[in-house]
Amino acid sequence: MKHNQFYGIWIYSILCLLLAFLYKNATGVFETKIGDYNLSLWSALAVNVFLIVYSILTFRESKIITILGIIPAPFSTYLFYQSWTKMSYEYLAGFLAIPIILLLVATLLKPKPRQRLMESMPAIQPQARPLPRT
Amino acid sequence: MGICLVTIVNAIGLSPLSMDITVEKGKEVEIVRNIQVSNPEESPIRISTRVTGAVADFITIQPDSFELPAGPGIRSTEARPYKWVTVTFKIPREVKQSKYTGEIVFTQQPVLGGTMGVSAELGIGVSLNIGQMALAEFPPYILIMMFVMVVLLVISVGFKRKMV
Repeated sequence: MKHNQFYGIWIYSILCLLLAFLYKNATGVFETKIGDYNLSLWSALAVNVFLIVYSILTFRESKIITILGIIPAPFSTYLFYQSWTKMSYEYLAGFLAIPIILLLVATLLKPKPRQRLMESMPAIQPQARPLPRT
Repeated sequence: MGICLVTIVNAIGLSPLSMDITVEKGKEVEIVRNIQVSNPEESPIRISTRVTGAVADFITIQPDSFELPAGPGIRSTEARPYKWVTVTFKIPREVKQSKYTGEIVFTQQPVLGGTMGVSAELGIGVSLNIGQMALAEFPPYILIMMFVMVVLLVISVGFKRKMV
């Protein structure tokens, strides 16, 4: 298991990009209301809950990425919802900036020395011991 | 002693006689159209408006009630007094149906005075069609950000593999 956190951020970025493409090419899909809010809130919330859960599950790999993943997630949801509801693209720019920053940090962040060592080491094979003579 | 009752039925001139509007789905739209209301009759008239049908939720009319001065008569070729009525369609993003129909009804109020008046009504058919899904027009900086993201997604995987 390696770079779980990076691939989590990578998938999160893909999902954010997908939301932006939907916004551009089929903006009406978000008009469906569930409860008191439209789908723009629920879809952004689902994507950000994925980020939060993934960040928590992989916090051993890098605490910086975990913190950077958890803190902006609520803002990201708010920004996408506001952008669609108010038809304001400044909010959308903020929403897209979050995965870009996360992706840059996750890409440039070097794995921990211990982790790198573990990855470079061959797996320890169980060796057959000679039976003690009786 | 005899009583003489004179019934006056006036006519209203309207143009256009129908409105067919198509808007994109999922986009808040405000459309303004004008209707010309004229009076060919030789007496002044008072007109009030109302909207009927499902389309009524999206339409506002200004002014909704007004008066027109006396015209030259139906057979006259002279210009008739007229007034422009502004019809504003305000269609929200969230609409459930794909077609809304209705009528903008112009009612000529009974003329007050020594004669008995009969109110006349004339309607304009309105058809509001909700068409294809709307496209959002992103400003250039959003498109650049999306492009940067795609490039970053492609590059980052290769870069990460190289680092191991």
